[in-house]
Amino acid sequence: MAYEAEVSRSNPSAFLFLIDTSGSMLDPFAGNGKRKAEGVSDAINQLLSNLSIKCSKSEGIRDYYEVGVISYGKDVKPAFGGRLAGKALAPISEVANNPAKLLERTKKVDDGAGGLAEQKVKLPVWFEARAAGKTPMCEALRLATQTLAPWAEAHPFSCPPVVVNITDGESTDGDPTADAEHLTDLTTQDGNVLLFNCHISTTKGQPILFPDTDEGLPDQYARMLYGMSSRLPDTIRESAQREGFKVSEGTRGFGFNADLVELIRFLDIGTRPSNMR
Amino acid sequence: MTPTVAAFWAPKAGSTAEEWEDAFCCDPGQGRFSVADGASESSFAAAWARLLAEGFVARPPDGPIQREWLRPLQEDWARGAEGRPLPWYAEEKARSGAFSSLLGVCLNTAARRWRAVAVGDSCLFVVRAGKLLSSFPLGRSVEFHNRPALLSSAGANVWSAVREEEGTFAPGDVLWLMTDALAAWFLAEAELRRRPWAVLQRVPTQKDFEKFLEMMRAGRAMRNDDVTLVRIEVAP
Repeated sequence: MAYEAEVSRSNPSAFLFLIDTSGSMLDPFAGNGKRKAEGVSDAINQLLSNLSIKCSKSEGIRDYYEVGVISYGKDVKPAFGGRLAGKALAPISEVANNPAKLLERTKKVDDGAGGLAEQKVKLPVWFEARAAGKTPMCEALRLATQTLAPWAEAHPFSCPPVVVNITDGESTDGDPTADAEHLTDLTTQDGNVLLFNCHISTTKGQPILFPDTDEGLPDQYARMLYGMSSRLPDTIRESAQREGFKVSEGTRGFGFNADLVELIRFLDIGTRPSNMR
Repeated sequence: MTPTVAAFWAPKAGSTAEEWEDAFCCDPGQGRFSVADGASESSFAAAWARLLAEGFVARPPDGPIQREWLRPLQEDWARGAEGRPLPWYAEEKARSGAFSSLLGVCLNTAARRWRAVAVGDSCLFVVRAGKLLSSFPLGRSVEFHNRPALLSSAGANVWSAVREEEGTFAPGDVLWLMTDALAAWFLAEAELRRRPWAVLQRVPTQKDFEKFLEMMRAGRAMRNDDVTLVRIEVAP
């Protein structure tokens, strides 16, 4: 039985995001004026914010997760700033309490009486958009392995970490398949590290999320990323199904041609806490 | 005649007593009883569960739970969550409200009838002469899942999720109120023609209850969750 361990403070799990920050991320999303680099940083900040809120209890944050962000472009490094700088993984309480910035926005909400009320919401920012250089994906995967190998050893009973790789292009430091295999060879007693890949695109076309075949993927590179992606464990597959995705036993954590909306859905399903105690 | 009542509770394994997010309330003289199960995904859930459980016993609704009955409790909850400076995530979390199940039971001793109201998966079982007579609101162990309908302290409530039931009781009957993890085990055992009530009847003290849970959890017979049990024995 795999991927069934309870996520608890004594057996936390981990999420690690690998973010392509190569020069081409300055291009806009298909059908949307927003630059991909900004869209991805917005999505990651939103996701970290959601995770912090999810782990927040009356008495404070419960450390159900450790979280990290690694960027790869001009260089390959942990991407947190401020007091988290240099950390490849940090407990969610530390992440929640140390955003680089805390913005305040006003949004209109239903006032419960048929009208709209203004509500102030806080927008924490951990990760700023950047885009320069090439796409050293192999090196990023190796840094992920270096980060998670000691983690997996220290947390043998934990639900295994989920790594989400978000990229718009071709790896420029070689075929990443072998490095991806080394990463997903890491295990806890509850299963192997999961690697999900999300390919975001500039070209228009129907997004493909959580496919169970590489048929219909337009190029060899997309097929390679599909091949590197882990099969969804039952808990995440059920989540995807509830969200209306057609899934099968062979469904993989892969998204192709995802626009911003689809990227956020992909991240949300891939990181949904299943069994928090 | 006033029934004999015992109540037991315990937090999930790995949590402290302060982190227990169920609640119960009993007024044997009035024949009013309740259990509530605060959802651990929400914050200030223990306070919400307690407000619901105590609110029911102090002032049971005449019919199903409705907006007007719930509103003062929601206002109490909001006052409790306000008034202290909160970090950004706690503020956002509190905005989305707390969630809890509620099971409330009123006994009419003269008429020997019970009336129950429920939202969510906390259950009432009525056992007579070694047989499970009633099971409310869930009747089968497969009906327990991770996303039951719950009462919200802030957001919109699904009033169609409110369930009501009535029944009779007789001298010697035992009525059991329990939160979901224990209720799921209870029903699964009953479906196997075992007698889970006989097992629970042999748990006389809180300490014995904790030992019983430890054993059940270790054997994976029960999901690791906060647990609350109220036993109401009608005099023979």
